[in-house]
Amino acid sequence: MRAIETDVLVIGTGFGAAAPALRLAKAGLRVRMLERGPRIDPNRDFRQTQDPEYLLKYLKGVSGDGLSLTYAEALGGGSGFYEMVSLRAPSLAFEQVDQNGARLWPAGVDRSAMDPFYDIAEQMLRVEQIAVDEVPRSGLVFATMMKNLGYSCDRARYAVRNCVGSGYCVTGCIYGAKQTLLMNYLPQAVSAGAQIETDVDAQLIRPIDDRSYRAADGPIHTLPLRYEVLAVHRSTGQRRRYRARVVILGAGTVGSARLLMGSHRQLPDLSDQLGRNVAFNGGVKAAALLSDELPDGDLFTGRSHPGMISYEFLRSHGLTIATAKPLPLQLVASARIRLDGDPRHPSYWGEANLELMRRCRRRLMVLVAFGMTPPIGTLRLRNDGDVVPHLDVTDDLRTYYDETTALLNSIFDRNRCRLIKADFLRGDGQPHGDLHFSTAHQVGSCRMANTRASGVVDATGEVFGYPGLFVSDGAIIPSSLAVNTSLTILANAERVAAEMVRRFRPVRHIAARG
Amino acid sequence: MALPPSPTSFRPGITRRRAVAQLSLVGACGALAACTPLRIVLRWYPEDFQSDPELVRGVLAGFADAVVPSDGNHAHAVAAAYQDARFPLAKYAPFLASDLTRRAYATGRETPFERLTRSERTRIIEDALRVGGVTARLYGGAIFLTQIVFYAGLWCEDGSCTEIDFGGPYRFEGLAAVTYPNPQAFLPTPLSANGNPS
Repeated sequence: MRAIETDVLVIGTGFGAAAPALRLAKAGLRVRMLERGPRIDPNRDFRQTQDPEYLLKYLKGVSGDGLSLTYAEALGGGSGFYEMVSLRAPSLAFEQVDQNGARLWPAGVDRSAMDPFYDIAEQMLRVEQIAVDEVPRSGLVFATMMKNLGYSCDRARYAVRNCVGSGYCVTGCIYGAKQTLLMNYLPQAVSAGAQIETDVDAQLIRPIDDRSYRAADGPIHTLPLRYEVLAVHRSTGQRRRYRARVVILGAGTVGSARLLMGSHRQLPDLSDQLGRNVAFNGGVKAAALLSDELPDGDLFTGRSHPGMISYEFLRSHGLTIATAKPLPLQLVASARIRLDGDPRHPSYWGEANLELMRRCRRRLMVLVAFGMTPPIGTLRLRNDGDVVPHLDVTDDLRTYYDETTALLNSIFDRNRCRLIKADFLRGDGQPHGDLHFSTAHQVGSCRMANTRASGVVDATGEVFGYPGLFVSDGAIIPSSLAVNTSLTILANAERVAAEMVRRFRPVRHIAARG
Repeated sequence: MALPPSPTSFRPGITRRRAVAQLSLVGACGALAACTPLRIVLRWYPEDFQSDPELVRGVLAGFADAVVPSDGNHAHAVAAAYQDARFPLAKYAPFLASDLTRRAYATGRETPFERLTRSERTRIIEDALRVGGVTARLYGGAIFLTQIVFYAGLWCEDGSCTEIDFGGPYRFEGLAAVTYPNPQAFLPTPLSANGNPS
């Protein structure tokens, strides 16, 4: 099997992978990207559907005690399927500390250091605050509820152009309005010379030999081929071998950790923090039927995110609050719902449930709070090569959950809304036996830190002990953010990429004249 | 409300009698195979349910109609999903149908499950859920699938569910259809200058 050689091998094509691929390709390095999921042609492949066969082709999940994680596996990673909410993380998020009072983020990385890279990311994704006259009905009703209580509410920011409010953002935008990576970073990287292979599952990383991978830094052409990556083409089963001077893992919190954990024997000096410190944005949901004084919402229609977010409780509780607009599939697959105080049996199916579901379209409001919960989730590698998340539900987490639920319910109560009881469900339709967090906002697992004792990579994304091996995606983000994570992952990847370009940019020789 | 008679719910002739006889046999073997998992694993339920998908679908249409008691003619279409190999229930569907039939006859009435009134069928399902263990998980899983298939419109061509005013894939009607005029009147004072938190 002949090895394919390249300067830079980027594993993944999502938010964490696209920025270094583009910047390094533009700097003149030979870049090759490997994507585990299928190629997507946004003009042909995206569909407005709830067909599980379509959704499961791209959306994957892993679930364990206390924690379930959802992620996308496709060209462009999650960018094709997210709600296009693109918010900077609040300053507070960067100042979180662990139980010993140590700052979670490495020295020098805070909001002000990130802002220039947020600028770049916003420019690339064409992020703008939603126009007032485009805010969906559910967002306006939510804003009214907050206004009634004297609370603030802000119009959120999105990576979108010419949105027609068609909904189904989470199944892929068929109108080409959502600014996915398929419209900017990836085609620009290809134009700059990068090559992208899809359906290729990178399974193992190993140093080419014990000496050369520790070679000093410098312009890329002065470095030896330092790492070998073994992969399999998923459709054909064909095995592939890649050799690169620099390897960048951008396969996401789950994917990057899985690859490193699977390569632990070949990379024995990896930090024991690998697979730990998973943060999950502490999502808490509550639902209610709107009171008669409030206007109709627009569940199931219009853009998937309702346009409004409240930072009212950010300083006091570390929380942001928004409302969610699930499609019917998302609603019934996530919870058994019943009207609080409805004595009828059966409650979550049959007549009572149908009656409640009939009222959802215009009268259901779902509030979602994201919080700065500590990074205490873990990922464990199973024998079959997949990973399982785990979360010890501590008393502090229970208190957080109860208090946040009480806050959301009080917003409903004081707006005279009728609460809905929800039993949140596992993938097989059975209720979780205990408190369980489900999220697509997972970060951590290979977090960046000041030392190998507390993290897997340093502040530049380079793996401790393995020069030239980087992680650049959500896996290195060390804390919950209290807002959607995509923009921060992208901005941080831009920050990491800028340092890589500085270190590895080829020197252009000027031929000496004779 | 009882489901309308379905020509596919039981094969004509002796099938129903044979099914009852086989169920009795299963009952007699109860001491050996009372627990649900064993009966599923050993396929210890009437052969008709293993070999006749139309029979299974007819019984499960009665189940779907109880779980989502809509007056629409959805039950048979929704029940088809139980046998769809894409869903994990497919391999348990024959057992579920046989168990519903067994429970229907165990009430002392000589009426197959799908011909019982909706409230009778509802009671049977509730009783099965109360059994707990694997039985409750199977019935709970079937309810879960029913709701997904029905409310997400997976059972009909256009992917809609008119019962909950869900129109399926979007047909562009303009932003006015999903926004309100004079939106400024809804909004409180923002905390940020541009939507980003500080």
